[in-house]
Amino acid sequence: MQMNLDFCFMDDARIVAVAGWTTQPRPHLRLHVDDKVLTPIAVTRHVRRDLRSNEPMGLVALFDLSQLSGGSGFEKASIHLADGYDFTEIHHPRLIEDASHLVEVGVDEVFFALLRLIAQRRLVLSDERLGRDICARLRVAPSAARETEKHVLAIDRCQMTASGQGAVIGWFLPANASAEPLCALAIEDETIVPVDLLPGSMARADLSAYAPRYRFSGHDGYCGGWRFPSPPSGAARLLLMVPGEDFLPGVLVPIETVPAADLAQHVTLATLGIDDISDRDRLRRAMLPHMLSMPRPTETEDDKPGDGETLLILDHDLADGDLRDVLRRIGPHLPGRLSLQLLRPRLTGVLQNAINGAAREISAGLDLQEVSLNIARPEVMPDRVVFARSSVLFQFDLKPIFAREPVCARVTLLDPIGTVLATRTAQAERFARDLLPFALSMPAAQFFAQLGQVPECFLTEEARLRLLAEALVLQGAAELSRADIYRYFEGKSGPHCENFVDGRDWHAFDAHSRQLIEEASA
Amino acid sequence: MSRTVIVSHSHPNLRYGGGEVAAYRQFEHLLAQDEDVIFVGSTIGPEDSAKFFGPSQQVLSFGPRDFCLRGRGMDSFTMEHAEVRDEDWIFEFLLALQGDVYHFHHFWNIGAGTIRRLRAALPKAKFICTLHELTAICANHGQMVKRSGELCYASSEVACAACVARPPIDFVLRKTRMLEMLGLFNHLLSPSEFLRERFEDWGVPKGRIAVIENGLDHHASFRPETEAELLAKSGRFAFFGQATPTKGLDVLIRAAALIEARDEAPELPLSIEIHGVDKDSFTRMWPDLEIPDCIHFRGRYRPQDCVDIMRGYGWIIIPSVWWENSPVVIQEARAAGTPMIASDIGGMAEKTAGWGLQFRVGDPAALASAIMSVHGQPDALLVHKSRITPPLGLEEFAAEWMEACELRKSVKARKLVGA
Repeated sequence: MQMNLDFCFMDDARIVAVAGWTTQPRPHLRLHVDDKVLTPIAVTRHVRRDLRSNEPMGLVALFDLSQLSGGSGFEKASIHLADGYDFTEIHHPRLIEDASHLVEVGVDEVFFALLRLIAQRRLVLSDERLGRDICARLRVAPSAARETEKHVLAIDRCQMTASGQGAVIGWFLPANASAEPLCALAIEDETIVPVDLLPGSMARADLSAYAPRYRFSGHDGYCGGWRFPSPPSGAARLLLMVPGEDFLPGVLVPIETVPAADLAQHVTLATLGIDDISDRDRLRRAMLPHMLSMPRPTETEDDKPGDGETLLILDHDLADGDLRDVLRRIGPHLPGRLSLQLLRPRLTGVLQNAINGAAREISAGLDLQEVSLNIARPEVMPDRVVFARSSVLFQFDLKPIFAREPVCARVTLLDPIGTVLATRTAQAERFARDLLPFALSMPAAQFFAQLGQVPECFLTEEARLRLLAEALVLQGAAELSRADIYRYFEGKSGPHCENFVDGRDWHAFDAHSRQLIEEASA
Repeated sequence: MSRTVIVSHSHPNLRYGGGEVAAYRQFEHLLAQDEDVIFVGSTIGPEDSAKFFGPSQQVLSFGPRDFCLRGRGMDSFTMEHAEVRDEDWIFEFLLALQGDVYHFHHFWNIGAGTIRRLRAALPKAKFICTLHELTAICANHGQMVKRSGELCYASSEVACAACVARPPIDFVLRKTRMLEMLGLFNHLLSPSEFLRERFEDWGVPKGRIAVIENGLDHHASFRPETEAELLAKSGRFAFFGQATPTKGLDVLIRAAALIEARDEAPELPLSIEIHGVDKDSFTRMWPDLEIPDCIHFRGRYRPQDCVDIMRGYGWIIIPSVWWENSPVVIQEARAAGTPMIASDIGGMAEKTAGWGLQFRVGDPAALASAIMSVHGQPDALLVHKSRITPPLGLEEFAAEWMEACELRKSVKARKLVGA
């Protein structure tokens, strides 16, 4: 009997999915595109209750059209789905519209099959409206049980940051072997993203007591990561799709929003638990963007001379009480009032005291504007923004860093071996590779316009600012100068200097993130 | 009217340390000269404050010109008040005194921030600081002795980080803060050449520090001693000090044990008497040290009795295992006309040169040899006594102080009006 074709659509990667049902256990499917004949790259089967059978008559087959040459003329091509000797013509509008129809009216089983293919990254559907429709349909979907006769699924941690990077860690024991893997989708209000899940990747000898009931291998821990393309606006959930569960979408779990450092700590620990070291970077990479685009100069208002106010974005990496001396030292070089954004999670009494003490000695005036690990755009734009660590400000010459003129961006960096190389590219590479201490000073409007182009995928704001400084150097848009000092000590206080379980601090964690992004985009 | 405010980190009514005693003697002397002078001391920390102050009391007056502030305790690493409101209070108190001259003996409990703000508020006042020890240079109690016990010859960010277990950058910052603060004083004084050299090596520009000994009033002369008295004294040795590890009392006890262990008993009995320490406190500090028979603990003494007590001995031993600066016990020994056996380093070597014996620091055998070289030797005692010059009197100190600080006209010309 010929396959009953319900839906046929093409994804972003030119994969055509055909969904329907057939009684044949192994249908002979092909896709004819003009004179080219394609065989499926994957076929999945599922039970459909509407067919009143326990046999997996439901089917989704995938054909890869990206291999076909002459993509520009594809819209005019004649497309037919063939099953044995039967041909069904597929009209082009279906390829665009049927995905929405499936989500809208498809029976649950085919809808869930579609979700599994998305989760496994076999289908890439980035259309926003489709994402909203999927989320809407899932909003009322019931969750499968975590423990049944067929499986037991545990979620130890399911967390994400406010910027939308997330990770799940847990373990899974099925009762029977399955060709389908455990897979997952992260869902927020209007967006779904596949989770790069590593099932069976972590040693969990402690689960041996489950062995009589389930298939215990000793490596039944899983972990996975994801990144929403933009910060989630509301609550998010994780859908873990259990193999063999055709009638429910899967186990739905609320995602806890945690500070980025907490997630990084858990991910670092989980990474160390992944048995196959070649997989260890996968978890981290899944939480990062695919590439880093360098920020570009943007149109901003004319840099008219203002009242000389400077916004200092400070990573205070010295003892809390020493903040007073850092700020005092800046005082004589200020062209106007100083506003302070302190990159700390909270204001301690000692920090407050240090700021109060400095305020008594800075004649230009000092305001504490913000205490947060994330940079906040001020309501009233100051003249300039300066970013640095306290250890930099204490050891670099401050006069050029805080000078009102020239108005352009200025990058001051430490080059301890005195080999700032001749080309901008080489300078920028060393700057990034060696994490050279630096101070960035630039007009505030330009600063915020360009910083907004750098993705919020790092643990520290310094990593974003280093990227911005690097872009300015590469574009010749900043005055680059070398700090004229030979003895320099890094600060070792503050959250950014705290070590994770692998011995790396936040800066090193970010450097590794950046390396992973660059490797992936190379 | 010109007013001098003498500021000390402590008050000798509460604690009897060298720095505060020198400060207070200066105050008493100027007061006796009818100068317009005010003394401001402080309690060392909350424990002392709780003993002597009411719950909300900020200042104790021991006289119309003699004040003791409520000290909150200060981290000597930062040399800043933990709470800026405490700094506000002490700054406003010192400012309210409207001194023309502020002479600081130390800056602990006063705070670098207080001094900076006072300097900014009173740009025309004369600021003087007497450096009593090495706190500005050394974060290990200002003693330039490493936590491993070895003597330290120079500070550096890396060496200090290894010693005190803090990041090197902390020492960059501390040194900057300290040098900045010292740079605010019109005059820096040191009671010893040793201390001056250490500060100059560290970064204070050469010529900024003048050396003036602390003043100590004393008898003009003593009755000559008979031969019999000299012989008897040549067998009598004494220690004056506290049972703190750096004072080296354990070195002396070990030296005494070595002497007693010798086969030949000396003809003249040997006696070493310990003043300022009782047996119990010694045993608490060094529980494993056996006390030789020649050691006798005499306990605490009144400071004003010290010189008279010292005259009863042939030799005073100062076995400190840190550098010392200008220990008051050396001045007191000079005032008593009693020679010393001293460790051969720092302020002890400088201040006992010519009239004392010196032994290798921390070496009980060397100390035992030094003791035995003069034990029962009245001639040697007489020779060393004859080389002793009296310490600087307070009148002479005041004169040197005024000259070094260019105060001759400004202070002496104006007398106290009222209290």
